[in-house]
Amino acid sequence: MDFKLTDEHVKLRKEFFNVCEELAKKRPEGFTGLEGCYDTDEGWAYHLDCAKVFAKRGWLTLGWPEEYGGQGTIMDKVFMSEATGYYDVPGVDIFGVDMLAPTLHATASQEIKREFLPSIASGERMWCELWSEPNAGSDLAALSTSAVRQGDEYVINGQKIWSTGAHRAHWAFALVRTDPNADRKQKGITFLLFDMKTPGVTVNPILYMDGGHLYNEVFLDDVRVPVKNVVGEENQGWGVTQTLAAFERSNLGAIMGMHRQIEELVNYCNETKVKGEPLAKNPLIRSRLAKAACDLWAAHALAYRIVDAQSRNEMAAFDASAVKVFSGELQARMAQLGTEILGPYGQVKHSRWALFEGFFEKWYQQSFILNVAMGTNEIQRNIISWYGLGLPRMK
Amino acid sequence: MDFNLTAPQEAFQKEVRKFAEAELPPFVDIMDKENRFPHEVRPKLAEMNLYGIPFDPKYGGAGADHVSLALAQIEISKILAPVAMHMQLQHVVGDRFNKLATEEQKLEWMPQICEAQKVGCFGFTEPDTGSNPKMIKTTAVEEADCYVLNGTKRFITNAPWADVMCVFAKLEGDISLFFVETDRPGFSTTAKMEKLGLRGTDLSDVILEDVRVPKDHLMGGKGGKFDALKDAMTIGKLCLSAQCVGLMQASLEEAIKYAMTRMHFDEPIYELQAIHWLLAEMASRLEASRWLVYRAAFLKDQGIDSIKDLAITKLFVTSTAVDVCRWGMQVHGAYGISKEYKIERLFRDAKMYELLEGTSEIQRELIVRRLPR
Repeated sequence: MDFKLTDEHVKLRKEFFNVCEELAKKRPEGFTGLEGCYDTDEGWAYHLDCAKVFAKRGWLTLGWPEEYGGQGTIMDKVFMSEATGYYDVPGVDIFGVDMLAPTLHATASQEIKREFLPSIASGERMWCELWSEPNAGSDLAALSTSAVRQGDEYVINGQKIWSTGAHRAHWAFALVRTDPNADRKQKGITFLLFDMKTPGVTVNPILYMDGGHLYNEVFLDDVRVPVKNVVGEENQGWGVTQTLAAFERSNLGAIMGMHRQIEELVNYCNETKVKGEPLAKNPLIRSRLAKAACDLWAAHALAYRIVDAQSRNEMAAFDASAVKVFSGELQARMAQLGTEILGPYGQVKHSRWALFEGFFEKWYQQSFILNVAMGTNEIQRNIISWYGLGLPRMK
Repeated sequence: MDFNLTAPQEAFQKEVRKFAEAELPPFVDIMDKENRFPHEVRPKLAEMNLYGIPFDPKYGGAGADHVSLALAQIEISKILAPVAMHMQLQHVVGDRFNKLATEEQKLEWMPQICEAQKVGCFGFTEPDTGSNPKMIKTTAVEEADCYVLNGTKRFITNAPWADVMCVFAKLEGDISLFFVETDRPGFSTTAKMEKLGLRGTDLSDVILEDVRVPKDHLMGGKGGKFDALKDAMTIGKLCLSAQCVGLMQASLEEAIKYAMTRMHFDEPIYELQAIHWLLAEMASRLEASRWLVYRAAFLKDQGIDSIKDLAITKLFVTSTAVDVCRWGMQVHGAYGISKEYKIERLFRDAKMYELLEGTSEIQRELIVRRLPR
């Protein structure tokens, strides 16, 4: 066991942090997290600009095979996640770079890889995921969007929901049902790619509780997609989704964001006086900050363990669930702590009264999503109980 | 000991529930989405006598008790909490007149407050005070025929359109209380703040620049008004704790409704044990909170010093409301964060109560200082 980073890792990590620190200086006012990328034109332009910077350095292809312009390892990618998370810098398309690219490497034909990987590497084409449906969320295999083959095309009809950034994305990867008569619902599903400008694609916003536009519902009416855009084999799409295990699961970006917030809160408590004394001398606040720091370092250690297991292809199915539950719930607690320390100022939106540009008011709302997205924490706990602890399987 | 509501309390509860369910839903989007107070609700609330529930009928009140006030706050908040918050401010200001004004002033002002012809706001918090009264910087200087007030008040609910404000200020080194008509020269408000929850209850700073008030606007004589502040805050804490109970009740009802209709693996999620546990926790915390609020109101009606009990109630109920409303969101899964479901508004509104009327830390201080030693 060795927790120490090599000199080379330390140097590379520093480089990631330096570049992100510079990019952070160009961040539009009020930009926060994933919602920042998709909600405003300024945020989207910033996201694309950062992507270009990273692409130029080859940082969107970390861990890829060399023949597709890859460099470095999954550990390098982790360090980059730490840097982007700490400075809240976008530019890495979580759908294209983090999810689709590893899937294509593992399952796609040479033609597909040659056609689609270069624009991901250059940061020019951004993606969205069209998986969930109104009646297929945690039970994703219940999806009913149909794709009927007509010659060299599929004709797609159905509705997708919770499609992050679909109103901005250039292309989509979707799961559709190509065989409605398959004996198991996991069979008969196909994974395919299409341009979001294809006729018949309609994107409607689902506004988040803070009013931000991050999520969408997407209607597909007679959308025609070339058969050549199938990833893997027809009706074998469920297997393709399982390769997303290669997606980096440590959640280190979010964890590093929390490190930054703790630092901000500590600075605030040192500088803010109540009854003539700095808040930092208040025992209750000290205790809560210390507890948050302990939890955060536990999450950080857990995340590194996941990275290590993943780099050696030894990650168990429930590991990702464990880190998602732990760091997701921690993020909600941290947002809560921030609003409590700021007191009434913690509920003011961006304005001259708001502290940290209203970050904690926004974060309090945004932090909730980790506990329900990509399988609710109840589902994750079931997975941990079942796979991890060997308890009987339950719904 | 008798845990039943009296017949009049029960009848009043039913009446307010019916009113809230019928009259308030059209105002939800106006307040939450447009962040605007719907003044057309005022005559409706006044007609129900919901602005002066515990006050003497001779001053325009309903002559009921504080338990009834809590019941009304719960029922109104179940539908639209910021309306209850607006009512709370009328009660806090009305209560100051009731306890500290002259008979003549009471007869002049209280009926107008109870009928919402005049809207009140309450000015204690300042940019540098937070919850500490010793740090008040607003000053009052006595002149021959008036007092001159100067200072800034922060986070003042109703301020942008209030008619009268109760202002705490330092006079000769001690805290005094004044009432100030808001159309007096030198009185101004800043733009209203955009905030997380309880939207539509307009909140702004109040600037007092050489505001002159007649000498009879000094309430209850010079100095010693820290107790008046604490007393006023007991009404505030009772009301906002009751509002939290209303939010929790609404969250539980919304969560059950969603769980009964949301299908998962061919059955409603209501059948899943993970959902049972969330709903059971929500129901348990709601009931504990409800009885704490009833007890606090009962103690106030008995004239028992209830500062400690209201601090306990506020501390427990406000943090519990945050948990219960969050669990309500969790039952909704990803749909919980969407503006199409009521639960996200309840979640945002609940958070506000932890931060208002003294933080949880201040409540702990108030409790510990009053524990038997």
